[in-house]
Amino acid sequence: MIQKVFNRRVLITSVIIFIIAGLFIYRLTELHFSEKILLNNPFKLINIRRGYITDRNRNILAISIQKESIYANPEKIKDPAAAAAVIASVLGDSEQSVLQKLKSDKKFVWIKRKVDEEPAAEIKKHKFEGIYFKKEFKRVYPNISLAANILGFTGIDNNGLEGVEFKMDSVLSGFSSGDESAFQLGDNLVLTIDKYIQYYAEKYLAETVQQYSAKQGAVIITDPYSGKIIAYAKYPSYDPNYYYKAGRNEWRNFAVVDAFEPGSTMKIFSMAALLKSGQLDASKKYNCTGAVQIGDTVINCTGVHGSIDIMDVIKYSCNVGVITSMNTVNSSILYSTLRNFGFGESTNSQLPGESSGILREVDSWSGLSKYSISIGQELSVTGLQMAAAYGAIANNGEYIEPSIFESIENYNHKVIKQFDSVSRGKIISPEEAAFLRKMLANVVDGGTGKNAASKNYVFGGKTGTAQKYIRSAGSYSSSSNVASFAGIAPIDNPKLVIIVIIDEPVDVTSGGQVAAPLFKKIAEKSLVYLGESNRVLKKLDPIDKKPVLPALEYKTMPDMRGMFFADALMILEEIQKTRAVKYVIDGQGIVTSQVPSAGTVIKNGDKIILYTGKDDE
Amino acid sequence: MKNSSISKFDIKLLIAVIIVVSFGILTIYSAGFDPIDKLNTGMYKRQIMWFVIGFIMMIGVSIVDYKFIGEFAPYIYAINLFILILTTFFAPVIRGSRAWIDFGLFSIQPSEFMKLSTVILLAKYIEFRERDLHNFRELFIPAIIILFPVLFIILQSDFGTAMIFVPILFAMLFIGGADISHIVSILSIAFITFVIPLTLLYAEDLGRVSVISDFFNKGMDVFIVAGFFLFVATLFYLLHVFFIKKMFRYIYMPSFVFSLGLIFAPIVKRLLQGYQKNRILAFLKPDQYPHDLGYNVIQSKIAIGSGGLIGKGLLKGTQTQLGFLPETTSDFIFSVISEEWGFIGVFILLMVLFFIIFRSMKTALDSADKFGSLLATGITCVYFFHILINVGITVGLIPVTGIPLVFVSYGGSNMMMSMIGLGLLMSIQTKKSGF
Repeated sequence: MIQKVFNRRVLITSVIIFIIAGLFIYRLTELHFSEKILLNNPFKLINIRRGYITDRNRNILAISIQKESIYANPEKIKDPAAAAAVIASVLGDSEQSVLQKLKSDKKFVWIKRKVDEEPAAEIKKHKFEGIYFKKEFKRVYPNISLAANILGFTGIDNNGLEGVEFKMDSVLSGFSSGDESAFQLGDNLVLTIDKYIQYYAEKYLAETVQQYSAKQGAVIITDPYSGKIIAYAKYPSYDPNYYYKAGRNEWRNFAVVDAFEPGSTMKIFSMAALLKSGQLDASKKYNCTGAVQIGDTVINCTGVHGSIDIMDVIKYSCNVGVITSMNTVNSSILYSTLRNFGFGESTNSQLPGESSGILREVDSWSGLSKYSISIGQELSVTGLQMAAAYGAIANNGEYIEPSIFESIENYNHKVIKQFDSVSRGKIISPEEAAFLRKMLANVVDGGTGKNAASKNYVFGGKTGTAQKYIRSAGSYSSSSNVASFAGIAPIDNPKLVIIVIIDEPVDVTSGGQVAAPLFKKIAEKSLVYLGESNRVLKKLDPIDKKPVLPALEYKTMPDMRGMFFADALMILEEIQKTRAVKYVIDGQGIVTSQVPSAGTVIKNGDKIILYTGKDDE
Repeated sequence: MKNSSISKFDIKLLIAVIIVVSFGILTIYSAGFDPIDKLNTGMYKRQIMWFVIGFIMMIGVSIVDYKFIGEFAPYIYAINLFILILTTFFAPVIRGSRAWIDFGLFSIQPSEFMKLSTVILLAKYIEFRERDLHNFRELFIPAIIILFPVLFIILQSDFGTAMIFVPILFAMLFIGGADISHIVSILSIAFITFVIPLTLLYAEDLGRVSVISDFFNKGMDVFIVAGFFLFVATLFYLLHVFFIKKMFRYIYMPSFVFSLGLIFAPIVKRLLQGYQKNRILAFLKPDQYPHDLGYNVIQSKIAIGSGGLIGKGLLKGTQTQLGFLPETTSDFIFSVISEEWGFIGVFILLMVLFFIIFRSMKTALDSADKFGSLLATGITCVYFFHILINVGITVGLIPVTGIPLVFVSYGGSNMMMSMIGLGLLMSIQTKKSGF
């Protein structure tokens, strides 16, 4: 009897398990061929005009433009071959693949999404039964690869997949009230970056990386008083309009996502610890014989520096000097100083995937750790942490978290959220910060950073040349380095903090040779652009103050059809920055036609008229 | 009288397990691969090692007579529980929970082994009380048997592992012969207790505040109604005690269920605040929490969906390789397989996993004695609920908690537990006519 009950219940259980297995398979089919869920009901797809992204001067970096998407119900098509022939020739696709779609046994199939108006109109003329059109917004990045590493990109359904597009997806595709019948209006995002400085940072970085055949490179520029990231260039970059053609190497924000061993750029923070311990004696001489022994480990110096004071220890980046000075500094003071400078934790920059780097707790330090860390080994940091930490030196000792977001605006350009700077308070005194700046100025004035010296400005900074730790070999590489330069420009009146990281330069590999000249180039260009008066030290030719911006202005009319009128307004205002034009926008909604047409050269005195249509569905 | 014979052992089951483990190892290899440095974290090597150790343990256990193991069930349970409690209070915090004993080179998770120990004891208990199991009071001791592990594992902050004991208990009681009306009643109470708050939470989040939500949210009305049903239930229960009549039973059982549900539901509703509430909302509507609470499930669904029919190929899954997907070697390994092997890959994997379930179930049916049947049932349940919950989470049918996929996910303890379970199944298969 009981055996019978048991058998019956096992049977019932088996049936339940079968049903669950079936449910799983069903669900997987649904997910794997998810186009079906979406496509069975195409009009359920909400058409979102994703908010635009601008730089801090309201120059457009990303915008949404309405396009036509073509789809079909193959059941209703009478002559698939004829339709396929026309559609394929208009769209320039293969007839075979279009025909295949038109002959499929689904009730819904996309033929091509987000095509221009002309080809769509051409196909409409034929009035094929079973072929339909739907307006969809397409994400466009008019500056191509500019700031791609910050912006990221969106997928075909306008969902943010990387960068700011990903991080702020809910804002950009948000719920601002607008004309809801036709489409939803996301909010607009203003970034802290400056398009022009970003452009030059990217341009010069690319040149340097190519010149030294390096693996990759990054430049981070921040405003030390607000922590705002003014530029963050990364090479190799990619075109977010065609993001899928690039790979992980191009997408990856290595200076934020990956931590690296910094090397000598850390030495200035060891000096901060020395100040904090009250052990900095400017008159004390350190004797460098080219190497120093700690326990049974010998640490080599960058050269034989002889008897030098602490100022020169930093000036010539003397390992022996820094290490010897650490004898008087308690490990916990070094640790807490570095923690205060933000190492070992995220800077909260809001950039996706930011790494915290590694700074081990002082309990797990070995006897060697204090000395290794003091010269930038045994810890890893991100470029962003470096920028924030040098920012604190520039900002009289106050640490400000770096940030990339300036404000959020609604579709009507009204600011609805302003992002404020987040301060972590004074971590060193203004006098200590001033002393550290003096040390940094000294480095550029004839020290290891002499290649960063400018004729027109006084710069300060620290070079870094870190051998890469090779995981598979378990030792430091003799050939691959990270060359870096962390600097403040100008050092006597800090305006910018610039971090330069060049990963694996070939042949010439030191931070002083590779990264310092790039720092100088970018710093000079940026300061001139910002209108900083040059303090001419030695009477030399003044450099041209008017920025030359070849790729950064609208010389010809852009195609503005498909843009939401308030977005088009932004472009018009951008054109007005370089050309004396007048404009009129006739109506509200989506721009349907324009005068002059796209591609016409824009001249001073031109009048631009945009017409909007009411027939957006 | 035949001797125990090796020929009885289920070679198909073993082959199926080896296939599934291989799936896992290949996937761990892929997920551990860093396409920039061309380096691998080497986790797959450790997983191979765990499998080999598990295999040896399986053979060791399969040689021992399961009935002999059954004699020691209370001791195995007690020792395991003791170690579990020690771990709960003295182990270091690893990844947010005190669940691991660290041996330097490797660490062991006693809560994994607790699943087996509990199943062995439950099987022994149900065999022992088989004929009385239809009495409601006989269900208390099994409940207490799982209560201790559940309690201490929750204290370890490992909610997922703790929860898996509950369905295992119910399934074993059901198959073991408990009264279906009891099981249905308990499940109904649980259903009312959780479904009402969830529905209300969802509606309130959409801004639909109705009379019903006021009824549950504010004041004592709900408890008055519940009290009325409780009164009716007690009345008819007493009537039933004096004049046994099936009719009374039909009234007092649903009344009890309804009243208890009505008492618990508003309590749960009011307890669900802050983080827990957001977690549940994130499960119901992951798309509204794409960057935090809904992130895992969305990324998992994208990974599965992007695999298509044949997948992107080993080491080619962008969701996995670019680090969008979390926990690629454990909780979300199924999504990695979906992305890199496509629908065909996961379909085969699921088929083989369910094949393992049915072969284990068959072992239960074929066993010569009740204890063997129940033990095999219990082990089947352990396997099955791991698969159910893990896959359920990855495809977005169950809220996110951390549960590994048996034989597939990375993890030494889970692998050893699963292989020892397999050893017990083999022992049941081969020893069935050995006496």
